[in-house]
Amino acid sequence: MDAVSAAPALGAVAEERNATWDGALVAFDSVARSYSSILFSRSRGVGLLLGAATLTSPRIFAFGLGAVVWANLVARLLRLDARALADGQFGYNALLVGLGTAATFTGNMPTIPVLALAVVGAVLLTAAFRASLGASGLPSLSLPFLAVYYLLLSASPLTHLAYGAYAIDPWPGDYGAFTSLAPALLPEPIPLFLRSLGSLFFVPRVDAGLLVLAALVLHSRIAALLAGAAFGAVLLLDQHVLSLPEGAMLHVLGYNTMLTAIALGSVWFVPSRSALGLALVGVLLCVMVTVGSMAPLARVGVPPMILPFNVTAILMLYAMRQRTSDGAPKASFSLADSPEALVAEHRSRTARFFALHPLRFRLPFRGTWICTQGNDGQHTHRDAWRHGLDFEVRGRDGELFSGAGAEARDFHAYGLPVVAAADGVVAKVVDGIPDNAIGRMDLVHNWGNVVVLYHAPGLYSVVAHLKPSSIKVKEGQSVRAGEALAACGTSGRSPTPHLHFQLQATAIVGAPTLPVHFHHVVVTRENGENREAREVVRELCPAQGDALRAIEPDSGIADLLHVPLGAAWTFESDGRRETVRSDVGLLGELHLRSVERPADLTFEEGDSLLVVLDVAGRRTSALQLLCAAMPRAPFDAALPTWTDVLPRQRFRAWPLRLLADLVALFGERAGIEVRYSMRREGAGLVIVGESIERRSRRSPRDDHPLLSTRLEVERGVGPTAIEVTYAGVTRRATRILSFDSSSRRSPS
Amino acid sequence: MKTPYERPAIVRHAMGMMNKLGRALAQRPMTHIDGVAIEDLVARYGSPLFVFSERTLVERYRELHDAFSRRWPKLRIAWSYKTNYLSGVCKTFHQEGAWAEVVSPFEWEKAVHLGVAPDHVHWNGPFKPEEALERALVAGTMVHIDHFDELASIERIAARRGIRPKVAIRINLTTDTVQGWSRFGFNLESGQARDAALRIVAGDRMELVGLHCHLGTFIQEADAYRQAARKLALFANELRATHGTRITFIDLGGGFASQNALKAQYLPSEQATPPFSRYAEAIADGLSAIDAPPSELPTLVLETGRALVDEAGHLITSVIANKRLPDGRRGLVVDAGVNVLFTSFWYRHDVVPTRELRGMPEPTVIYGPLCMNIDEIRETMQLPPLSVGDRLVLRNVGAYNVTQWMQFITYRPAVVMVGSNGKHALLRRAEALEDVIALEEVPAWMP
Repeated sequence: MDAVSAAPALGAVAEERNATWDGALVAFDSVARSYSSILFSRSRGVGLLLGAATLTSPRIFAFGLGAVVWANLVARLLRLDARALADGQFGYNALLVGLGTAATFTGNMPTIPVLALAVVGAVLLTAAFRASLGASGLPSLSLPFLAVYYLLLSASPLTHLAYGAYAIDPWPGDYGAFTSLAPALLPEPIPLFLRSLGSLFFVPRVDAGLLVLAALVLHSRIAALLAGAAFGAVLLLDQHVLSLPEGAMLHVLGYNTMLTAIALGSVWFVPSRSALGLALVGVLLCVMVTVGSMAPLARVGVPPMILPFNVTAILMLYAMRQRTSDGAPKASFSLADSPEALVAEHRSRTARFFALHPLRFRLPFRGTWICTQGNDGQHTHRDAWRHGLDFEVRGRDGELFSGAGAEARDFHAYGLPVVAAADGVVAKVVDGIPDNAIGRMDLVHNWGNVVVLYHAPGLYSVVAHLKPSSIKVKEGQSVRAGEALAACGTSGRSPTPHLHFQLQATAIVGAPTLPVHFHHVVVTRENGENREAREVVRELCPAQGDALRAIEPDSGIADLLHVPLGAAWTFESDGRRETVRSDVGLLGELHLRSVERPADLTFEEGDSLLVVLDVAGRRTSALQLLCAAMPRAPFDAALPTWTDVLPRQRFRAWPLRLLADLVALFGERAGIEVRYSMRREGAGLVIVGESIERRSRRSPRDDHPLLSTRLEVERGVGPTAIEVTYAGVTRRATRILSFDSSSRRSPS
Repeated sequence: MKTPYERPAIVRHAMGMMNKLGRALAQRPMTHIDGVAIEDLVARYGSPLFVFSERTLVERYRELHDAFSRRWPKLRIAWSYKTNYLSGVCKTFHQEGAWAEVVSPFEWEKAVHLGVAPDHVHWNGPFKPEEALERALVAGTMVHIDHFDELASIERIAARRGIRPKVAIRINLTTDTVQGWSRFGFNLESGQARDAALRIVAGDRMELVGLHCHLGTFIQEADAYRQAARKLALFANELRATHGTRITFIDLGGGFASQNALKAQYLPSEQATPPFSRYAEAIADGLSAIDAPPSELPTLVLETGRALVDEAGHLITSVIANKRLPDGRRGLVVDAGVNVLFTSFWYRHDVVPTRELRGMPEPTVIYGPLCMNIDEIRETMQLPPLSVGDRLVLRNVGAYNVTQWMQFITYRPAVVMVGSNGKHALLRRAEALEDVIALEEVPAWMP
């Protein structure tokens, strides 16, 4: 059904193919996707299966297909949004109108022109609903279909449309193509379930229902599971609570509740146990709405159709949007390829990009400092101020001062620049409080000289105990992350020069603290043999004793890993050639798109590191290998190690993947954590990754990492070789340089 | 034991600490360098002997890096090869992450031979022959343009090879305290630097990404660097506003003073030479005038030389004779002369004995072994009597000696490095006759 916000289409048309072939493909897509949109899918295969389901009743199929094609043509003529058109968004309501017309009325003279007009109306209403409901962030689902269909029904006496023999009521015992099968083979609920699925497309037949079920399973196992659960709930209710007349009622209840469950449990919310709970609540409400609306609608003379689903789903979605915090179930705002992809993407995003606050904070100093008092520290970081942090500088000899340490000047931290932890505006400056003598504290002006920065509503950062007359910024001035604010001093409650940092919710100096994590921190650890190991930790709350610094970007490494815009790289893997091209999307996001195989890698290149956000598409693409070999790369000259998490699903063989899909609703093992290291080799770099998990815990022969990767990058050329080994199977992609477009080379 | 014979002489007792002849020798004798006995080193490698302490090299490097990286977010230290291009010393710095700063094709070749990536080299200097320049530019070396003829040369190379190199220009400027060397680079105050930048932008054959200013040598006023950094930062702002040029690095060259004392210097070096943190504060302060968001701040490049290596170098020398000069001073002849200790021309090197000396200190002149009147290692200083065969350690000789020494009259001695783990090894073996005559040829017409 309707996507709440349009995500950039994955199968972006490849420029290199024939233009007419392109046009034909787009047209075919818009038709196939009109079918699959009803199940919230964008897959051609699903659309084809659904079309085949309607084919079991050829007349209905013809009307449906005709309506879709005509609707897409109308939308094209009206110059409506081409992307939505290609996604089938203007076709599915018309499809339902067509199917409904064929099922309800005979094919006599007025039917076709009236249908054509009705389809135009459906397209116009779809466009109108998309705009109006879409402005509130709500989907229009199949409200346009309902409006047009009810209109047709109520106008039928006046339009000479005759009710046909293809009324909604199915024939009991009609299994369609499988009539030869003895009914006793299937337990009673199953044909009911299949017929219910078929009724969604106005073909209440078992064979049609089977094809719809196949399409649903092809699209998403999670959705199929939800549909099954919803129908099961309806059956339970029917047996114990309600007393419904036999026949069509259960079909209507069936497909309304199934769609509600799918929408609430796997499309608008990330599939999880809480989403399942929400789906079941939705199912119950939908049953209530269906049953309760039967009588009033009968008086008006219209069947409920999928009105209960529309009403329940839209109202529940709107209500859930009013929550003050988004979690359990987590709302999803863009249409993923399938609920499984949604789950995987959500899990990966949480594991890789989770942040406490909407802003990322860097350390408020330059170079390597030591955290001398962490959260819940023993001296002053307690109770309301427990999330405060103290930092000082330790010299090479391990001391915080040189010489006797009798004066502030002797301390290494004294006078060093203190920088802004994130972009913001200076909210408050306190200056004029003198430095203390070593060992003395000013308990009246606890905080000493202070700069408070405003970052976001309810998010302020404070640096305290600054050196008097060293504050360079004024209240109201806007500052960028990393910009120098003042110098470290020893004013206020500070016996020796140190920097105090805390996050708080107001601008008042000394307000209670909020928890803070710093991002992409380089931690230096002693690792035996008196050597120092440096690691980039993605998100860190400093503990006492940690030696930390921000990533110090090295232009050499940044140049090596830079992906020039418009670069075209040709890889060979498994005997096939693949060219990937770098590109900028409509919203400013960077892409690497594969020309031959539909695959798309989105990434971000900052000052200190390159991050691959996601890769979608063919598993065989070199982009998948690239993402596994370098999901993140810091540009630090000290070549620290770092870890990242890769989703397991990407590497599993398909049987295991299907199995995992089925249990995905109930939780899954965490992704594969891989440790990466970078080293220089010749004029380039080699990035090597090894998963912390081993292949098998039992046999010592198999004590290899589950996943290991290797990437070689050459200066001015880019990645030249990628190798990924999972559970002993290696996949390689090598660069073929002679195919690259030559650009003006600028060394260094 | 028989004490060595000493001719009687009348000596004036001079008590007290400092007088115009220098400080009284108050130092403890130095018997080991980093845990290795000096006598063992001499026994193994001979005398005189240059000894470098790896630990001091690393410590000084890290001290420099720490002082600056805590004040400026992007730092690059380029080791000045002309100060000391011994492979062992250079490699120690490169392992800590240093780039290379060279001033001639020879130094460039040496750096590349050592394994430095050509695009991790800064090349300064007024003489860059076109062939070597081409080779370097194609390989990605950062060239600092010294004059317009060099600029023209680079443009020719760029056209010929179809490359668009990134380059820097050298600038000379004046500060309140230090008179900059006006013979190198383009002058800032007269507008010549502006012209050079304009010429580069207009020619559109190369990209200007760096500004370099080397103020001088042995500068003990940190404020000179503050002014130079500020002027460069303001110039970078101007370039950005005028041409849209983005300066990605500002190079303040070298010139930091070491622990040596200049001959005319009155104060001892501990008081006269600022620590690295003082230079760092001044430079960071000056550079803060740059008008760019924190993510686009230029990298600070330092081409430090003597401040990193001087302290790590020692010269062990042996007393070969005692003399009594007619004016009453004692003369000490040692086996290391100005031919191996070039810096003795401008420094008063610290002289440290290797054993406890008894006897009254008296004005002593230290001469080298050469038969040349200028061969004086140390002017009059207070020293107790020494015997033939005693060792003396001359300190802070790590810079320029091992590059500027000459093979004159004597063979050049061995250079040894003492590692952090107490091991020692040759950095350069002592010369022998073969080394000298290998370069010579006798014309065929001579019988």
